[in-house]
Amino acid sequence: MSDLRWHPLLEEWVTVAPWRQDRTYLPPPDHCPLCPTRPGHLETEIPEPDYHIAVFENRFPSFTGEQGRCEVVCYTPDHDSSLGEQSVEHIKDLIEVWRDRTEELGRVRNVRYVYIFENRGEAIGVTLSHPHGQIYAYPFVPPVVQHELRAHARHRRSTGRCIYCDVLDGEKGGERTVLRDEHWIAFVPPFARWPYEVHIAPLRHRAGLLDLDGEDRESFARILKGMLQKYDRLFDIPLPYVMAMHQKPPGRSGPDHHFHVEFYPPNRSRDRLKYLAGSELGAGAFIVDALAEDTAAELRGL
Amino acid sequence: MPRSQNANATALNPESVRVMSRPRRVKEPKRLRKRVVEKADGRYLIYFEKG
Repeated sequence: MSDLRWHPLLEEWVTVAPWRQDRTYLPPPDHCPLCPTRPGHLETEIPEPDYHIAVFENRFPSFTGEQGRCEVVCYTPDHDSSLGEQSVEHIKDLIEVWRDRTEELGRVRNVRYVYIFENRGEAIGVTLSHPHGQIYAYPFVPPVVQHELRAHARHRRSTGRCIYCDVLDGEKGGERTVLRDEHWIAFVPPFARWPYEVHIAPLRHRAGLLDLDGEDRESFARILKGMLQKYDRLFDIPLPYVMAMHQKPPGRSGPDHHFHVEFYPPNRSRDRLKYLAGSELGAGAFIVDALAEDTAAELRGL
Repeated sequence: MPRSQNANATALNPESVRVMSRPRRVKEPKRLRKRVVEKADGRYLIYFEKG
């Protein structure tokens, strides 16, 4: 079990899990633990010779047992592929998997938040290059989401409206829009903290993955794929990113939110990265050296 | 000077009030079949397969 330590100044939990120091680190492709097991070779995490989408408990979890769960989501058996290279139909299947895990993990005792994310690229700190995402079922609501929920609740109290719906209203002009259809939008928010940060979100108010109807899921899959393809065309490299899904905490009576997916690519050019340094890490104040309107136009044109 | 500390400063418009009823969660036919197996060390593995 991890040691959960309270940070009294920031009023947030720090999770101490020393065994993660020994986790698998950049194995060669023929020793990838996320590939299907090939006949005559060592067994991987997935013993069968093929799979469509597979989910398993992380071997080096930050949360397990009474504390929560950590899962690995293998998007595809194809080691050299990526999320953005999957078909829209396959991404719709993946959305079903994310919904299934949201529902099931949300019912686990002590779980207060189900967080779906992907780290892509060595620049982000990825230790396995096989296309995969992760799910953390936390025993607490993590600080960034907590912050968003408080802002949402305050805005709802003072205006009666959803704060993210109002953010989306501000995108009607389209100058920060990257992709849009009848139901979803991909845009660089005016308050982006990374040069090529993008949010994708349903235009209709949806609190979480479990609230998406068939039209939402179809549109989500298309916009997600389109956005990831644009990212890889941006510098003609598989663009590193963190993909973070923000949704309401589990339970029907819990606080409301507006489901959205945030992307933080660290690149500010093809070969230059933005690092979190003195202002960002030491003071929590992001300095971004790009205009959202410019980066949105650049992404839109790809 | 900061333009505003309001994250939604570009968007606040009293005329944009909308009805935000939460959609009813409808049970729909699943696209995938779910098969759960236990690994040798006790961890679970879930195969999501085409139905």
